[in-house]
Amino acid sequence: MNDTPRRRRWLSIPILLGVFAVILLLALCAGSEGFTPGRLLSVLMNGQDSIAHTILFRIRLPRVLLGIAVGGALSLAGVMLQGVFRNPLVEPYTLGISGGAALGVCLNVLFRLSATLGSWTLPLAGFLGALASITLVSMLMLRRRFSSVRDLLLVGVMISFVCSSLVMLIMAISRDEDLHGIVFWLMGSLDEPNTFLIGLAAAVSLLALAVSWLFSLNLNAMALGEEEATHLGVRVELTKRVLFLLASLATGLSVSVAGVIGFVGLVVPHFMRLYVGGDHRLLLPASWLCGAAFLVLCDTLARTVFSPVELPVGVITGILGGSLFVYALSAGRTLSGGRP
Amino acid sequence: MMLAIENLTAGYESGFCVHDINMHVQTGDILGIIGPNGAGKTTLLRALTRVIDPHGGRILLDGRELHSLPVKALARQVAVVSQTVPVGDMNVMDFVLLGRLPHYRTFQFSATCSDTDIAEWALALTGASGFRDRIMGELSGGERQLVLIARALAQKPRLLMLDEPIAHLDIGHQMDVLDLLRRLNHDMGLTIVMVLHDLNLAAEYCHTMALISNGRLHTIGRPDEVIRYDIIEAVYKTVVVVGKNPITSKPYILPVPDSQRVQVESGKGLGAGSW
Repeated sequence: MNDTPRRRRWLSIPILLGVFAVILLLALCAGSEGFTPGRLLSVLMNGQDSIAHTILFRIRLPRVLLGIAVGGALSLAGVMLQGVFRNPLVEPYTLGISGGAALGVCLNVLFRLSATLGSWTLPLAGFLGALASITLVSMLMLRRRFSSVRDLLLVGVMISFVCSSLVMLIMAISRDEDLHGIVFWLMGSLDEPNTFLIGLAAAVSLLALAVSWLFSLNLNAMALGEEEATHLGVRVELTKRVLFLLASLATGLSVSVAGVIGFVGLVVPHFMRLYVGGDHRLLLPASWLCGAAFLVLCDTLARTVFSPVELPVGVITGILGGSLFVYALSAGRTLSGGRP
Repeated sequence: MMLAIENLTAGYESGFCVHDINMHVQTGDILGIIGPNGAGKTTLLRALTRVIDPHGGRILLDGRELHSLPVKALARQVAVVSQTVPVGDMNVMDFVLLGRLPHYRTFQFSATCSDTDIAEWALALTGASGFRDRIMGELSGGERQLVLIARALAQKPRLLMLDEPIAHLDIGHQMDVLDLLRRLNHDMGLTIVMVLHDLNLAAEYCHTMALISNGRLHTIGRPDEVIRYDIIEAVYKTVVVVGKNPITSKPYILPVPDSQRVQVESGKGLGAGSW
């Protein structure tokens, strides 16, 4: 009797996979050069040397792949942070972790590290910036035993504010050629020509999914509080350290490649918790899938709604996510929804 | 001997501590930790359950230092029922299955048939099978307490520690919970350590009582050695009359209101077994 709702919840994964596939198809077909699904198939099969093939493989597919990697990674970071802090309003953006990553990337641009040492320094700088922020938040929140939503969000907002002020300082003193890059990158875009970075983002996103899933039962126990989890044999400190590291890695890499894309880590876990429940064994893969689909959809909207003008994808996620954040804050109670 | 507490000093950064606690808990014992508000009962239990580290002394579980045991190995031997658990919207069965976590193998991510059977057994033992499909947040206080004990039993522990397991329950549910604990102790040989506020129920159900006062162990012994009017009056700073339960022969106390104290102090009913 009890197994029925549980089985029904697991059925949500194939449903999400179906939605994911439809959105991928839409993203590949939609654009200034539109394809029907039939034409898409024929280009895939026979159109190696055509312009359509180039558009598909050089422009749209890398963009879609990056959307999947970044959307999945940001959603996962949201679920991990919400699980550790036991607070459904935290995510990389509201905790100031994205801001820390942005500061790291700006410092990299300022000191021209990626130009001299290689593009691998860009995600490293983002990761280190994110890690510094998350360490600061966790020290302030966990060591000082602040526990209210207000404290947590205020700490996050303050870290974001300090980081964005420092980013503005960097912009003020940076060279003109760097300034344009920083501004465009800050708005958030999935238009990334560097295939190494796209591959790295995809690998890290999948790695974060796999490793975080190994801690899914620990997160379920930690939903009862750290003391209860310890009584159940969970190594709470180890779990927190690994998940903070993973969240920093996922956020740092996403920000360094795609800029600051806000609220994906809030919107997606929120709806997935309502849809599949609070069991992290299900919530983590469901959020990854939904986050990937959501960002690809937002990016498709960003490049088609005012075509040929392309909007930064962060604008779309910010409008959608920010509205939901305000709604969620005012609705409060519904945010804890979902049951493991 | 199962649990040995030697010269234990433990507490918080704020300064509150329990000092120099020495006590032994024998296998199969029911130990009740009693004492006034703020005496350090819960602090002592938190040290025994490894939530806080000792500043001095040590706690031995079967001769091994408790704080050096791997957390998972400890959870297979010792289960804890805390006073407040944020249960949220979790299903009762899923909640009880969390008690099987310490027994999961590496890379085991879901309950086996045996885990489910043990969870069902724990629910049946506590009389909570009837609400296995309900949501934790929707249970009454008494029902929730039974489920918390069921989750602890699902850990298959040898030692069960409970922090005020009958707080906020009516007398009927208090008796249900304490009768259940006595049954578990008698039938399964489960050793029980619990913090209790109600001195009469503690005297009724515990084999041994440890009275904590101002962060120190004041008295430890059988209920009739601890529930003495001179000890209770000295620690709780109130006048009481101690009698004997005619059915169970266990000591019990009656607090004396301020307005009646002249009568009591003039000899009309003061002292154990005097009425």
